[in-house]
Amino acid sequence: MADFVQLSVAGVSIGAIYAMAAIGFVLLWQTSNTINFAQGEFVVLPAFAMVLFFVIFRFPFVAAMLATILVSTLLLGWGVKQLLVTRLLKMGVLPLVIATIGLSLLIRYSLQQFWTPLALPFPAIFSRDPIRLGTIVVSLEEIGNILFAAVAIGALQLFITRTKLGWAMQAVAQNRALASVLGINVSRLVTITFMLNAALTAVAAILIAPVYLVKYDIGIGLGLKAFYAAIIGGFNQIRGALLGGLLVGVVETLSAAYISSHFRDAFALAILIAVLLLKPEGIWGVKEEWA
Amino acid sequence: MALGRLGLVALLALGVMLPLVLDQYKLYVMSLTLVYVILAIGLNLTLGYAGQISLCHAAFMSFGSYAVAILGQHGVAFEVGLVVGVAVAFAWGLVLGFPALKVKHHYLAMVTLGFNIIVFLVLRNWESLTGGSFGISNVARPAWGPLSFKSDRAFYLYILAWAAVVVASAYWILTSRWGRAFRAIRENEMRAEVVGVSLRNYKLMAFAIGAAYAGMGGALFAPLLGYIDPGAYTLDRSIQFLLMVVLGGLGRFEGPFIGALVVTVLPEVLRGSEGLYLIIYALAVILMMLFMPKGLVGLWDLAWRSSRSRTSPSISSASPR
Amino acid sequence: MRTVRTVRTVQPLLAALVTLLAVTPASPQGVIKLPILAEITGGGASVGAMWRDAVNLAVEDINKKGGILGTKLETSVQDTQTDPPTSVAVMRRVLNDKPFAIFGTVYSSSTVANMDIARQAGVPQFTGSESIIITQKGNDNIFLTSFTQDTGMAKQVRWMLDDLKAEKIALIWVNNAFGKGGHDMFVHFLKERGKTPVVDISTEVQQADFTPELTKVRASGATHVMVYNHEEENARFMIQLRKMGLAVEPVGETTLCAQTTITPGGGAVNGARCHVGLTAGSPVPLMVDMSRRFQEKYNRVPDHNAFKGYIGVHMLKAAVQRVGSWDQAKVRACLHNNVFTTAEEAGLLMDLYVNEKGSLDRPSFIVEVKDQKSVVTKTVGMLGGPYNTRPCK
Repeated sequence: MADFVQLSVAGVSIGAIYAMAAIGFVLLWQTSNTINFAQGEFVVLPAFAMVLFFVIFRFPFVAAMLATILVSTLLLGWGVKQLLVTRLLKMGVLPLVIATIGLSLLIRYSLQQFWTPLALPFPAIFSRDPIRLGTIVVSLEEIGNILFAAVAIGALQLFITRTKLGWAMQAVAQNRALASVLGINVSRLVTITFMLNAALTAVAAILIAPVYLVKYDIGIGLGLKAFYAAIIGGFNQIRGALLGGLLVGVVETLSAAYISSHFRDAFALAILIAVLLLKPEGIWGVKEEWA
Repeated sequence: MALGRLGLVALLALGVMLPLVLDQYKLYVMSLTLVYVILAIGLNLTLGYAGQISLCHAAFMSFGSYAVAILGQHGVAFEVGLVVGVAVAFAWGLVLGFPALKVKHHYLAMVTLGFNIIVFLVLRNWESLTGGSFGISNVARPAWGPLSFKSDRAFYLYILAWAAVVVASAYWILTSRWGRAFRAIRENEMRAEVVGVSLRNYKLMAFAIGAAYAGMGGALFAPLLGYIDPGAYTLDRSIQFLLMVVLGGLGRFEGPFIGALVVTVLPEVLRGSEGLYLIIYALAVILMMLFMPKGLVGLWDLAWRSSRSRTSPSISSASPR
Repeated sequence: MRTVRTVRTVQPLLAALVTLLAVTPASPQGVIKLPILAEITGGGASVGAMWRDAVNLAVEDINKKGGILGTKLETSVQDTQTDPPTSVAVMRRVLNDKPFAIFGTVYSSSTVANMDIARQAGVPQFTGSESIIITQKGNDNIFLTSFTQDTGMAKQVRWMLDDLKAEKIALIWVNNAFGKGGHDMFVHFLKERGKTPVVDISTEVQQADFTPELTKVRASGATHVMVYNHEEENARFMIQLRKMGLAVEPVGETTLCAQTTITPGGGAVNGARCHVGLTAGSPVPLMVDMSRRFQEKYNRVPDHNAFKGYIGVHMLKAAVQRVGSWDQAKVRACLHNNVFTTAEEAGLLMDLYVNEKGSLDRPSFIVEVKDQKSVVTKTVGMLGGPYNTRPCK
């Protein structure tokens, strides 16, 4: 039983990280019909930026964090939207999907080639000393990740539901044409959404880096898990991405321990396929309109 | 521009003559290209013509490879293995076709992606059947009694023969009502249904036939390489085929030829750029989507259009567009 | 009209084909060509880079002293993209240049795919691969630069049971050809001594969370955990092991104590102990010297892949010198069932024995990670022997 709790805590901790990557993914889809296959790399690049600012330039932690978020928002948010998305969005879903696949390869192999193919260490943000609660051992890192992610997601939820900009985003997500007619500058909003996504992934990167270590290829698995999470939880709801992320994290951890480590990757997948076949909009998702 | 029947025959003739002028290395590259052409034609059918996103092409490919390799270990003739592989791929293509009926676009992408990963896991973990991570070596090349296709030249011609069959059959399919139905579905599903196209059957077929071609490609791939392991059939490989088809030109008959040629031959040409090749490739994909979404075939069209006279017809109605 | 259009269509295609398949340029005579087939891009980039750099260093060292039998050596680097079909294409390509020997590949799945081509061409191939599947194929043209997992794990088990007196052993291994080979051999040699692992759980490449594994290890009461993943995963594993405050002793074979594990893992890796074939922390003077030169030239510490590459080139040198001529068949024969010592060829760094399958037996080391450095605590002799030295003329 103690093991079960231990595993669940670990699952929730890693699930919180998946959720952070998934939420931005969902936001992009909602407001601009973008399936961002480079979402994993949107986390990897800020992770390397963090190494640059915090480890190499030795900025104080908060300054490094802000610098990372800024760089990410500019490059992966504003930059990607202006250079890629604006043009490709008009052509339908597929060209943008292909372009994001290309982008993910570009970021990944550029980091490998021009920085390093090796994993870089990243200093832990929270203490790693074991805290024993009976037979369960947790560290501040697990708790910190969960809390941090909860705060970020909570803040985002507040933003979406309580601010004018948030309402505008919701409007665009529900019906782009109508939102435009109502006077919302859709293009500008999409840019803001991209920037928001980039900021989110930057925060996720800072949480992930100590756990995953900083390596050019960590985006592959992360991106995949973000997709699973978004689809399982609900592709058009933020809380769906949260649920999805936690579910994927917990299922992965528990099934590896209790069922089979050989098929570790298959269990979350099985849930994904089941959801897709039975309730494609996701567990907490809402059926999309025939747009 | 269209690669008419005569154009295809000319290509075939060219292909037959290549072993006379190419060394073993270039012949291998051409053999690999032909295999990839077969695979690309399959994906082009599913994705380019019928508009169904398939991210599990490598999984279908693996059925062909492993069928040939496993049955070959038991002394079964290569052609039997090939037929089995193609049949298994076709069957699973049908199975995957069913979710394609229910879900669209990104959801379909996820289902196929998930299928690819599951197939990989099964291939890796079912050791008694597939050899697991250690793979299968010495995959036998076909032999008809005393006539063996073991030599590089002979096997190249064997692959060429099957490629010709695949191209001819694809040509036939796409110029038949099937082709028109596929294009109708791709353009606008609702309208297609209204006009009387039985969406269901055509969607299923698009998946199944595309998968069958992938199985064929896989069956030829295994003895070409001589050794297969699950690592050859991961999601990365499926994405490689996707990029191949897109680079060449989605939904265009010539697309797979160009895409396969570029993807296979280009890295060999860019050898000097040690390590930059993948980056250049990725950049090319992005730029292509931005400026040439029709694929490299678009370049061709431009060159073609500028050289033809105003009075000649643009596209022959009898060739697949 | 149709024919004209067809010809117009075919012409550019043909032109493109011919251009793309242009003839490769010739290189100067009087040099021996030793192409390097390595994983420069793709998943194996870090490994391939080490191999390549070390082979280049070795060739540089040799050329400075006048080459082999008075002939200079020339290398070229070919990227296999860590993709077996590409490695086959690359192998075929370099064979066109008529090289004397080939150095690479390192990844076993590529080597198994491309080694037959080299054999058919009669060009000796030196590989950094360690998987048992390579020596099981009956290829007399492939030469490993380390021991295979059967020798390595035999030594590992012997050390763990005789020296460490390990009682209950947990086994954590990565589920790919490398990990499976090690797993199977480890379990096999344990069984010979009448033991089985109390935990046997596989991991995935790029896995980030090891709580399932660590929980199981804890629950089993294991005294020692044998950690056999790739370097980054080992680092993550160790970080999480320390976070959970587990009392189990971490041991490994090569990868756990490698510098590429220690650098990302940091202080968490301290205390790990491993049996390794090659290490920069080796006290052997020749290895210390090579390590220093490597660091001077490349600004990083060589790992076991680098040592393998360096030694491989000198294996070739030793064999050619013993044969006395540039004869591929004789060199091949010389490199089977033979002993080569550092007395005759210092670049070998340690005395070694090449067996009939082309893999090595050689002294190895027990290391412990202290202050984020691999420190050698013991040297382990060859597994078998005594071996005979054969002349090769």
